[in-house]
Amino acid sequence: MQNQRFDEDRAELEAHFAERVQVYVDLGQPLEQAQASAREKFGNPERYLQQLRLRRYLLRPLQALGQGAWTSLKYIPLSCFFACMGWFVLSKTGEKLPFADIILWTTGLSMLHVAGIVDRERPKYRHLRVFGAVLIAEIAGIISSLFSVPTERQLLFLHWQWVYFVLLIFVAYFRPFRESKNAKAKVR
Amino acid sequence: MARELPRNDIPIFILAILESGPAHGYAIAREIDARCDGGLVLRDGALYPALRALEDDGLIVGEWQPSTESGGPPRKTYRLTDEGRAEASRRATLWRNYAKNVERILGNLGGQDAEPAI
Repeated sequence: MQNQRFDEDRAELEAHFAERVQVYVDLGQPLEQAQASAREKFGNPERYLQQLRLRRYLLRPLQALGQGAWTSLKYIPLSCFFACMGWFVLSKTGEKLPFADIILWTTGLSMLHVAGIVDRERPKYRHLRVFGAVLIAEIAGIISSLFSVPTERQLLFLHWQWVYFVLLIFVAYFRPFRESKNAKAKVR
Repeated sequence: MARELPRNDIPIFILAILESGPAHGYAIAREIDARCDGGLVLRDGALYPALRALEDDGLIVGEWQPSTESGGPPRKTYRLTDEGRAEASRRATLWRNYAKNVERILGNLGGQDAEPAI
């Protein structure tokens, strides 16, 4: 639903921008110059699109959290597949049940997703989805801890997992700045 | 001398344009340009956050409609709600009072040929 709204916002702005370009073309400007003139009159469409998206998320923080949580849930089957592979490897090396690894993989993949590495969405509101995903990860962790007695090595993994969390949240927050620098470089 | 429209002033202009009838974003921008004859500079993109705010407040309603030109993209057309019509009238009154008072305060500053302050 939210993605549909984003697509509608984009379609609306693009239609307006295209119409502006057409006006300048009709006035006799070559296409490239018309696009530059339209950009000057319109402003940067991507910037306004981000404003609209941010506005939607600011108005609906719970929805954003829910979206992050849902995204994490969708990735759990894939995470479990990797966890089973991890279990297979661990069984060969003499470790016990891999519940701690399930948490590691589940949260790791979910966090990667919501941090935007495999997500097509744009940056600024990303942290809300990250927090939604963390909530699900925590619940998964609590549930799995009911069924497992982690080995010392697995506990070590769990501790490192928090470093991983912090790193991913760092990526989620600071990637937008890098993207905006890239965007400025493109404009230049 | 053209002056850029402050962001906070855009909603009242949108309400004023829509008072004349439904319009899509480009038509609103074009009408604002036409009415002030280039005296105020509006960045077209700045309309959209204001349009969303008005929509969220229930003052306007946007509906997607097919393009009137063949092969053209569908356009989102906005119209005033009853609440929006009342709010437009209320805000217009406030604006006129504000402009009148600013004129009084400025007096003859800048001479008779000076441009209006607002």
